[in-house]
Amino acid sequence: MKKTNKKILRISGLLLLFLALLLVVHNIIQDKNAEKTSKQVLAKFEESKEQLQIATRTKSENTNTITNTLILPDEEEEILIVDVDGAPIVGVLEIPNIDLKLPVTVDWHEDLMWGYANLYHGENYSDSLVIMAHGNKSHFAGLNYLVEGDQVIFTDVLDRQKVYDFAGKEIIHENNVEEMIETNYPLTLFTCTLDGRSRVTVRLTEAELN
Amino acid sequence: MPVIVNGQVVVELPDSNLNPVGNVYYLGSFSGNNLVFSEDFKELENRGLKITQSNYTDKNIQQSLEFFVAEKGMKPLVSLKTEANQLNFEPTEPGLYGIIYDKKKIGNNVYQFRSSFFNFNNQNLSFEIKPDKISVEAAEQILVRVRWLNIPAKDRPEYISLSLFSLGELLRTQTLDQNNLWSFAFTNLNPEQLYGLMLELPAGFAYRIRSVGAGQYVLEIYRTTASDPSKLEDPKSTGSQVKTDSIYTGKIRGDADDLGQKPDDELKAREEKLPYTGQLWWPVPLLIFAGLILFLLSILGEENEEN
Repeated sequence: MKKTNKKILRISGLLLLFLALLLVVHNIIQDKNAEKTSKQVLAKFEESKEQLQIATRTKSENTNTITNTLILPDEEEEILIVDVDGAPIVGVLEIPNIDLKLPVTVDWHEDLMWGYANLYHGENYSDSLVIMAHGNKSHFAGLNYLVEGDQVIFTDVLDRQKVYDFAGKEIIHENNVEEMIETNYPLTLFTCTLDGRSRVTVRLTEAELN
Repeated sequence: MPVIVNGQVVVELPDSNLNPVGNVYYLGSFSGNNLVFSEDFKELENRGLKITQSNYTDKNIQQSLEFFVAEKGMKPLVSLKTEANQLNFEPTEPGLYGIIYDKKKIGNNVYQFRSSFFNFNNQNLSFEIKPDKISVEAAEQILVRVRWLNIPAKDRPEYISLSLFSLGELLRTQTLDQNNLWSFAFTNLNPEQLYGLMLELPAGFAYRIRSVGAGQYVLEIYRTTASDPSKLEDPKSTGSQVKTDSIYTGKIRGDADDLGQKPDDELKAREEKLPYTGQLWWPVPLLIFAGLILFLLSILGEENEEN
């Protein structure tokens, strides 16, 4: 082998290893930033939620002198939104067993996917809600480890909580939108598999109150 | 759906995330921190209306802002005082008011000020003016998709008409139906221009517009039942009345015919595929593997040579 060829091989090899390292660092930083965003949003969400609750109380206590233009939902099932720095937040998703707490936005878009979980399907609480998030550590990587007995808690902007029980896990191909959303389970969570071509899907049922 | 803006103001309007297409009044431009009123609004100034601004993080914007007040069925009678970073509004009579801010292109970004609407019920309200920084590309298009709120497919109209306005002037009308997956992209827009959207819907339906990202909007269509909160002072829920007495003089870049010629592939893809939610990890083992092979080959070649 010629000396120059060996040199090219060695430099190319090192370059590829360096690229791999860069990608790892990039992913870790992205994950950390997302974690930071979600913590900030959660804190602001709590403040906004308090404002909403104060407004709600004001309205119900004295309907003749409403000083806030809060429009209360006529149907209890309607999903309420709080605007936090431009992100339309509908609530907080919590999975205690994997120590995860994420704000949930009413819709999804690339700009709203880091630091948030996103409501992918469902317009009312009576619908089957499908929530998605990235598959990294600070988001839904933990979905892979959920097992029977695990619970998921969703808290909306009025502090109404719903608790869900793990019901099953499945892998759905990325093109199979119908299978994902046409379900009788009240809550579904999903994220990408490592190759990105399928989605790890967790189905949940509403927990029975003791 | 109620929305809280900065934890203080709750609004419910069909177009609270886009500038309205109806009466929009150009109040004037800022010179330094003070708004210089246009001729049409000198009277407001005489009545004591004063608008000032302060402490923007970007000084380039500070010098070039223009200011609009949108009338939503009520006269734009407001008096304003300022404190640092805040405008305190003291409307003189109850009603629905709206404030619109300018869009400014600086470098590769467009600073877009959110339209703010609020109901005034004999209470002083204040809120912060807050610009969103978006890319020029995002500001050059308006991607729209329809979301049906609790309306099954069999009860939906066959099609609906979506119109793009620039402050009272109709630029283009587009039909939305199942063929375009109820979505459309208006492209080649002027990033500094204010635009408005309006839907024509059959009786019994109404809509609101919600921003879901830079330049992306969801048109939420719902039934106008007695219990629907959105029937409240919704001037557009009854159809397509458009007033064109806007005195804003901005210009659209290119002809109106150039706007939105192609359906948006991105939006279509959204419907056909589940969103990608992964991080880019799969290339890592490949890169390491390929890198090691090349590196080892070079070492093996060296050893062979020595032997």
